[in-house]
Amino acid sequence: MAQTEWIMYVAAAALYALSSAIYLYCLVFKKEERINLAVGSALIGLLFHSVSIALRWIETGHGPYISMYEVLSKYAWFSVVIFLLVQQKYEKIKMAGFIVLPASFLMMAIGSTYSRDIQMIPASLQSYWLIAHVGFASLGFGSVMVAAATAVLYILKERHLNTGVPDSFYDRLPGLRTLDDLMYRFVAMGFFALTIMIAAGAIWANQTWGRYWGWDPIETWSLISWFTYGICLHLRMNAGWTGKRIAWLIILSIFILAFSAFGVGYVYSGRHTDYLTS
Amino acid sequence: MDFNIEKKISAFFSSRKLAIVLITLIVIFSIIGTLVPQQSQLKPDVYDKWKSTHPEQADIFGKIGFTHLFSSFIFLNLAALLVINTLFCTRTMLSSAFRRLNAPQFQKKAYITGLENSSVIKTKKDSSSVISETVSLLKSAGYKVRQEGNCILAEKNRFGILGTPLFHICILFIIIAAVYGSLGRMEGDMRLIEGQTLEEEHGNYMFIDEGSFFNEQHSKFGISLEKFFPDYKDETNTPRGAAGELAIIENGQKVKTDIVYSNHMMTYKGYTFLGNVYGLAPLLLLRNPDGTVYSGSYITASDLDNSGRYVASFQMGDTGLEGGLMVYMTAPLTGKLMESEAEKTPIMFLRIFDNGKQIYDGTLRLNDTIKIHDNYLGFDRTLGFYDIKYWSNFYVVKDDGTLPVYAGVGLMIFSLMVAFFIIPKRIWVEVAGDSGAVEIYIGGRADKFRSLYEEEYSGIVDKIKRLHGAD
Repeated sequence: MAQTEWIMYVAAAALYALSSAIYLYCLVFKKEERINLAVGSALIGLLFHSVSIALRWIETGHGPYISMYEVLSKYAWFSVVIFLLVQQKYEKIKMAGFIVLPASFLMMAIGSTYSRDIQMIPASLQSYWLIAHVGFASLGFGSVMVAAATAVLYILKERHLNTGVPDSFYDRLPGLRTLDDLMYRFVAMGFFALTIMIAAGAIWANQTWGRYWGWDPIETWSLISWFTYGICLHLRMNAGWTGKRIAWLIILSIFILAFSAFGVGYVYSGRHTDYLTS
Repeated sequence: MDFNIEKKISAFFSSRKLAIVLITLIVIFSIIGTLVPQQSQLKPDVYDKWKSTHPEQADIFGKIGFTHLFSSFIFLNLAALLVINTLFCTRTMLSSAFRRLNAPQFQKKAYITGLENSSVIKTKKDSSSVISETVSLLKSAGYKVRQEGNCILAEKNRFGILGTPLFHICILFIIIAAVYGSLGRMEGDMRLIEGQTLEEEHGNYMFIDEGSFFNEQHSKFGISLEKFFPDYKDETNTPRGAAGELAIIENGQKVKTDIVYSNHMMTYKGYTFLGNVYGLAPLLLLRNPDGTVYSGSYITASDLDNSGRYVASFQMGDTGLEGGLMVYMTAPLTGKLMESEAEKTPIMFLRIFDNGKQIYDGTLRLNDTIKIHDNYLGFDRTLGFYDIKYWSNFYVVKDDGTLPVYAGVGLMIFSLMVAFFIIPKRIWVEVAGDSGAVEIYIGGRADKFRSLYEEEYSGIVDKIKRLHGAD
């Protein structure tokens, strides 16, 4: 089963890489008609990826949240799922995949460098709150990833409009106002998911360690990420930050969240990091 | 206070830009708090090691409060300012929301035509039928419709406007509950040997930390470790690691029992009990030549290197004898496994020193005894290994703020759902002109994600056009 799971994983990563390459081709050569190929490739990749995660789940007896290999795979899966759902509803932002798919491929590639050995779930991690915690963390990450991709589209479209040269490729993207509203909406969704992630984590921490908040580095960084997206929403709603300024802030914010999710374990020591750097 | 000063203070604290500045500062300080070692988060030896290896940094950071940043003057003041700012902003948001909910804001064509989504429809119908038909159509589209003269106000999801103020109220509530909880909080480690009962009072904790307002309000009920399971499996046969069966005793009566293990704590009268480190406690008794007990007790030995070997050093009463032991568990002492593996017994490696001189080095099994010569009195005493039990530390917490914090968090999630997913939408209509030349000014707006509302708005306008036979 482990061999099949690994083959599925590699196949999924390869299809995400193919999808990324098609997206890049479409962007560079402005061949929007080929985007469906990229989406199709991502969709087939997602099927392989889902099978890989399901097999791993059956094999280990727990969800994909113990080893870094599993965690990165889970984040990539959520990012692709959310992107595919979003592009189904807002067809015009299919091009946002040129950020989401390479990022997902990168996560899987990095994940593949970690040990694939099965780790038993420690007693302290056997909690439904943990499942909610990691589930909403992934959902939040996927949402803000799509927001960041939409922000990049916004910047590209605005830059093109400033040239004043008509271009069917950019004309097919949604208008600037719509892109602006979409990134706002995805950030709002991400903020909502991150709130539940922190709440579920706090309840789990209280059950395990007897306190719901302890300023542990990863807790603090999750709060920093939450505040960062809170600032994005405040600036968007109250300070008139729309368009390019908020787009750049959203792009910057994804790096802060990515550091909270993946980087903190390497920089700091703490209770969480014992699990995350395994 | 001068009215203008009061107004200026109110305007300062109601500023949403101030909120952004304060949150940004809190983020910056939080990052610093993760970079500078925090005294409260590190083990004392680790923190002292950092201090000794970085004396200059430790001195500077200590003086400016960065080594205890999250309880420092500057951080707490920033948080307090943010609370005040949130309070003022919430007041403004709430009054605006209730004003809007209570007083319908009908608009004329001058306002309507200035909206991003606005249209003018011309029809030859008479104005009264245009108004009544438009009202019916908007109602059928799910809007709550109100009419005043020739103006119509149609609203959908109007209570969504309360989402954002409610979210801010929840933040205030959570902060207040957390502060209340931490001021009256008590946490401590209580060590219990199997079968032992200790009273819930200050002196029985190995470590205790009490909030400023706890005021030694200990409940003084008895806590007993009935049984300890080093490898507990729950009713679904899931391995849960170490577990202890605790009993609460009040007035001599056992009022509650529960098994405490990782992610499964026991609660009683606002106290929570969590499992912590554990070890073995062999009973060593020193007997006089006539068999009476001279000294001895259960000695709590710890597994310091996770090797399954439990070590302890101890003193034997006032005899001047000191010892070191290492006890090896060859079989679980409790639970069903003990019966099936009863042939296995614990082994103790023991060394006894008399004024620093080693006088015994050997192995003892359960119920083994050795002779120890008392040089001062000139006779032998018997040292025996008579029993062995598990001991465990239990982390006991009383924090009356926890449940209110949870309630606040639950309500905050609900408020975010309202704020982000129940978007208030409004359509204003003014019907102008006489029969045969009626103009319908129509405009609509959603409170959030405005461009995404265009599709719904356009659909409604198209229906109105068709309804009135307009182009």
